[in-house]
Amino acid sequence: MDNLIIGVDTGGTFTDFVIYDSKNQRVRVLKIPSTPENPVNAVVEGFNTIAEKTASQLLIHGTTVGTNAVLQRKGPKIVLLTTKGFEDIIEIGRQNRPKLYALEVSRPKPLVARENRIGVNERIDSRGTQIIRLSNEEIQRIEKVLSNHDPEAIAISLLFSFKNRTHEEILASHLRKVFDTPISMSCEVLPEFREFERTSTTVTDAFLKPIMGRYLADLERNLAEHGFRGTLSIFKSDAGISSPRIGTLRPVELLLSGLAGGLKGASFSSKLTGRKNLISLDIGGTSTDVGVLHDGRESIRKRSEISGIVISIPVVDVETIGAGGGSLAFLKDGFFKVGPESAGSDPGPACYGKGNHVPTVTDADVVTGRLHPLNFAGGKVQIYPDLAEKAIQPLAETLELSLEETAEGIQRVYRNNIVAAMKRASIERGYDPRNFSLLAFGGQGPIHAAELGESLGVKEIIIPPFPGAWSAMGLIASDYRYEHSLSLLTSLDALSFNQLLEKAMQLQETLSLSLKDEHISNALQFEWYLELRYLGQGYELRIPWHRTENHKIIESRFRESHKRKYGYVLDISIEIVNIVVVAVQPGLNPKLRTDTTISEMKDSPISHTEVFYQGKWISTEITVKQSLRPEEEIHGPLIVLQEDTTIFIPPKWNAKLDSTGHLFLRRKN
Amino acid sequence: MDRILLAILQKKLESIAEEMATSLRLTALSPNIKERADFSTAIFSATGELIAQADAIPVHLGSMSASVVEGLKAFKGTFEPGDVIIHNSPFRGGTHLPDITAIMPVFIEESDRPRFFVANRAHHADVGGMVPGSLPGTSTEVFQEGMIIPPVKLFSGGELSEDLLSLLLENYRTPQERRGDFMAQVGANRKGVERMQELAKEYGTNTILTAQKVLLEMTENATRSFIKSLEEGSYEFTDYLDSDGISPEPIPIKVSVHIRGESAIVDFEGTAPQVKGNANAPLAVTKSAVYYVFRCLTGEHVPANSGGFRPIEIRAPKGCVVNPVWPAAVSSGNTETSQRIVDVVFGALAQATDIVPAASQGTMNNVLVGGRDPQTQRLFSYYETIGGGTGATKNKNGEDAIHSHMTNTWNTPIEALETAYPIRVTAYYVRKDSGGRGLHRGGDGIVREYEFLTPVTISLQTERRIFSPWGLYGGKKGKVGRNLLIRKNGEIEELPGRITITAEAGDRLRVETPGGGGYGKEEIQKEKKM
Repeated sequence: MDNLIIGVDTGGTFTDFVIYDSKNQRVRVLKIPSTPENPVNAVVEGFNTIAEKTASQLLIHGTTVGTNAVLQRKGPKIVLLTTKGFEDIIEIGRQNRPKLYALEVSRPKPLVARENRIGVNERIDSRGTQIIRLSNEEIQRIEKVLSNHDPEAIAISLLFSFKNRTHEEILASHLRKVFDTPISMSCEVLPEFREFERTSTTVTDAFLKPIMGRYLADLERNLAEHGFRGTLSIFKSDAGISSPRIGTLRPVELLLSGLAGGLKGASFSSKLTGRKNLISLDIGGTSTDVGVLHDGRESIRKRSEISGIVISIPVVDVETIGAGGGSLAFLKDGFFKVGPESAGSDPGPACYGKGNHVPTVTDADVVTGRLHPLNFAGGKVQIYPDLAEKAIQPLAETLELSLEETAEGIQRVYRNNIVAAMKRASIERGYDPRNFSLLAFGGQGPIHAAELGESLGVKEIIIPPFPGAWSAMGLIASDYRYEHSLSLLTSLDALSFNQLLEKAMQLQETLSLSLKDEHISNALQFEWYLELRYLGQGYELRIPWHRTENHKIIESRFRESHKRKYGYVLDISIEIVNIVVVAVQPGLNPKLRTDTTISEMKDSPISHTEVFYQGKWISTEITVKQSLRPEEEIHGPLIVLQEDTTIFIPPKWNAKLDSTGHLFLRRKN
Repeated sequence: MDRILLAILQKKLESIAEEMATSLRLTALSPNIKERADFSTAIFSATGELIAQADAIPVHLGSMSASVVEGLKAFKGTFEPGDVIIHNSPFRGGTHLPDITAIMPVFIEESDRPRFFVANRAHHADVGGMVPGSLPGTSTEVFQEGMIIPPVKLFSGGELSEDLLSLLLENYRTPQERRGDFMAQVGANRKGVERMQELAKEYGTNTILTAQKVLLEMTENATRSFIKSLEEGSYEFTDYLDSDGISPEPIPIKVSVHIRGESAIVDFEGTAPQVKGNANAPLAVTKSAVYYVFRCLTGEHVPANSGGFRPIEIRAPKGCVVNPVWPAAVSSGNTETSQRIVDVVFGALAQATDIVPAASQGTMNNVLVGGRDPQTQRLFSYYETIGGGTGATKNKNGEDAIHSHMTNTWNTPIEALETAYPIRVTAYYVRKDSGGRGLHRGGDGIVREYEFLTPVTISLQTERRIFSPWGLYGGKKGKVGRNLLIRKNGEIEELPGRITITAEAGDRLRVETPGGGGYGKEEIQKEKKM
C-alpha cells in the first residue's frame, strides 16, 4: 500500500517539502531552491529525490504562481463585460485612497484595462427584475466586439446578478459557443452583493484561469511522467484542499494560500500538543504573519487585498506586517526605524555579501551572536560577520552606542513591532493572550520567540519540530473544503423557516453537483452558516446554523455572537446577507513521533558561543535539536540548532521537548 | 533619551491610539463611524498637546488638540479619575456639530492631577437641527445645524450624568443610536486610559514624559528643516469658493505664506468676511487644513503630533470665513471650505517648491436625498460624497475618481443603496478627459447619475462648479464639476453648486465631479516622446 504523503510549499526562495511516511510516522523535510521561471521544476526536482517516490499516496501543493502573477500584473489579456454605464466600477473601487498624507496619490491599476471593459445594454434591479432586457441584437454586438479583442479569458459581472443570474448565464452560454476561452461569471464566483468586490473577485478569477489551468496541468503531467501515481491536491486560501480542477474552476480561491499554510501548521500543532488556543507567529525573511487559533479553529475573513486588488473569498484571518530577518534598520530625521522596508533574500542582509550595506535584523542577530556563521542555515549558507559589523557601525556612531548595543537596539525595535502586530491579531480581536500559547516558527521565529512571547504575555512558547517548513507541514494536515454562498439581502423575518431551509438545500445541491467529479468519498460533511447583521449595518457576522434550528435560535445565536465581538446587542431587526454551505471531507490525520524524525544535523560544529543579551556578553552553550531527549529539561542560556532555524533560549528560561517534537519554552519562576 | 527606547515608546503610544480606534469602530453604531471611519483617536499631554494619533480623518489632525485644550480650560484643575468631558462647539475647537469630542484624563497611581489625556472625536449620524443628519444645505445660523454642547462632564468620577444625557438625547432624532455612540466613545477612552497606565507602570511616568518631550521636539525639528529647505520669501495665493448657497457671490480665500528661516507664518488677511450661508470654516478646521499641507510635505516618517504645529503660526482675522464668530453657520466649512484652504496653502507654497501637486477636485460633492419610501411609507434620508480627480505632480499623473485631501470616506455600493432606498443609479463611471492636460495630466472626475423612483428633495453642497482646479507650471486647469437635473420629459436643468430642490419620480440627477489640475507644459511631454 502507498504510504507517503508529501506536502510541497512553493515560496519565493525555497520550495519546501515535507515527506511523511504513514507507516512508521517518520517525517523528512527538504528544501529545494525555487525556480520562479517555472515553479514546476523545483517540485519535480524535489519529488525525484524521494527514494520511494512511487509509493506516494497523496501530494498536497501550496503554490504562489497566481499570487506572483497578480503582484507582477503579468497575465493573460482579459475582457470584462459589465452593465453599460458601470464599466469603471473596478477602477473606482471604494473611492478611497490608500495613504492619507501622500502628495502623490496613486492606487494600483486593476487587472483589466479600460479598453478591455465592455458595457452591456441590460439592467436588473434590486428585486431581480429585468428592467432592461438583454436582447439578441445586443448579444450579437457583444460577440462582434469581443472577437476584435481576442481575449484569453472573459469575466462577466452585471449589476444584481446575485439576485437574477439570467443575463450573465445567457451571455456566457452564447459566448461559449463562439470562443474557446475560459469564462468567469460573477453569479458563480461570488453570488453576493457589493458590485465592486464581486467584480474584482470575478476579474481576478478570470485572470488566473489560463495561468493556473496551465500550471496545474503542467504539474500533473510532469509528476506523472516522473512516477507519481497518487492523488494531487491543491491548498487553498481558506486552509482547505481541493482537486487540481480548481485551477480551471475557481482559481481565485488559491490566491492567498500562502497565508493559510502557517495557520494550518498551527492547527496541526494544536492537535498534536493538545493546546486549543494558539497564537501562530510565522516570521520569514521579509514579513511576519500572525494568526489566532481559538478553540482549535482558524477564523476566516471574507475581504482581502493583495497589492491593491480586492478579493472577497474565504481567507484565514491573518495579520501581516513587514518585519523579518531582512528588515532594514535606519535613521530618518532622527527617528529610528526597523522595517517595513526589507533587503529580502536578494541582496539580503549585509552579511550575505551580495551588495546590501544597510543593516538588517539578521545582521543584528549575527553581531549579537544569536546566529553563528558556522551554522547559518545549517551551515549551508556562507555569511560574513565582518560585513554585518561594518553595516551597523555607522548607525552605532550616530546613536553614540557600541556596536553590540546598537545591534541589540535593532532587535528590540524589531520585536516591539512584532508584538504590536500580535496584539492587533489577539487583543483587538477580543482574545486575551494570557489564555494562549505562542507557536513561533518560520526560519526567523525561534530566534526571538522567548522575548516575543514574554512581551505579549502568553502562557508558554512552543517551537514546532520543523519551524522552517511548518507551513508545508500544515498542508499534509488539511481537510478538503468547498464553500458556496448565496446573497439574500432580506430581513430574516421575511423568510419562513421552510423557505430558508429550501434555499440552503438548493445551495447544498448545487455544491454537491459541482463536486461530483472531485473524487470525493462518501464521507462528505456539510456545514451550514448564515451571515447576518442588524438592518443598516455594513458588516455581517457568520454564525453556524443547523437545519433543525428555527428563527428563534438563529436570532439568539446572532445576538450572542454580536455581543462577543462588539460588546452590545440592539433591538432592531436582523438582516440575512448570505447563506453559506461548506462541504468538508476530513483529510489524513498524521501522527508525529519525535524519535523518528530525520535530520542530517547530528552535532554542532562548536560547543559554546558568546551572546550579547540585555547589555552583556554571556557565555552560551550550543546544542543540536537532534540531541534533545523528550521530557528532559534544558536550561538557558542555550542555542539549539537545527537545519532550518536557530532557537535561542535566554538565561532564566527552561525548555522541554515533548513526544511530538515540539519544544516548550517557559520562564523560570 | 536614547533613540531606541524612543522608537519603542513612540510605537507603543501609536499602538494605544490604534487600539482605541479599533475599539471605537467596533462598538459604535453610526454608519459614519463604523463604515466610513469618520473618527479619530489620540493621546495628549497634560497641557493638551497631541502626542500620538491613529491614522484618521485629516480634518481632525490639528482640530482635536484645539478641542482638548478648550476642554482643559473649562475644567481647570477639577479633574477626577473617570471623568469624561464631551463637547462639539465650533467656536471652541470643534469642527461641525456632528463631530463630538470625548476627553478623559489619565491619572497615574496616586498623582493628584492628570499626567495625560486621551480623546476621540466621532461623527454622529444626527445631532438635531433643521434636517436629519444635521448637515443642512441652507443653514444661516449654527443653531439650525444641531445642538451645541459646550465642554461638559458626561461622567464625573466614573458616574454617568443621566440628566445631561437625557437632555442631549431628547434633542436627537435617533436617541438610542446616539447613546450607543457615546458609550462607544467612552469605552474607547477607558481602554486608552488603562493602556497609558500600564505603559507608565512598565516604563515609569517620567520616562514617558521625557519621550513625549523628545518626540515633539524631533517632529518640530523635522518640520523646521523642511521649512528651511524652502526659499525664503512671502508667497501669496487667492482662490475662490463658488458661493455660500445663499448669495451667488464668489468667496475669496486669500493666504500669504511667509517663509522666515525655519518658521512659517500662514496669514489669511484679505479673506472674505464670514458669510451668511454655512461655508464658514471654524478656526480649528482652518488650522487642520494648514497642518495637513505641511504634514504631506514633511513626509510620512515624521509622526503626527503637536511638535509639527510649533513652527507654523496661523493668523486669521476674527470674523472672516476661515475664523468665523458665533453664531455663524458652519456645516460645510468642514467639508468644502477646508478643501479650498488646502488649495490656497499649496498654491502659495508652489512658488517655493516644485513638489507641490496641482489642485485636486477641491470638493467632497455632498449629495443628500430625502423623501418617503413608497414601499414602507417611512421617511428616508440618504447622504453620500463623491470622489474626483487629484492634481498631477512633478513625477506622476493625478489619480482618477478618488477622494482627496481632507476626506477619505468610502462610497456606498450601488447594490446596497438600491436595496435600501427608492433610488436607482443609472451611471457610475470615470469622467474621461476632465483632468487638466500637462506634462503630467490631472486625474479625471466621476460621473454618477441617479434616477428617483419616488418624489424626493435633493440637497447639494458641491464646489468647483465655477472656479476650476488649477494647474501648475503650465499644466492646464481641470474641468469644473456640473450638476444636472434631467426631468422625466427630457428637459435638462443645470443646477448651481449648492441648492435644495425637489424632483419627481422618473427624474434623474447627474453629478459630474471636477478633474484635477495638470502639472507642467504638455509640449514637454510631446517633445520627450519624439
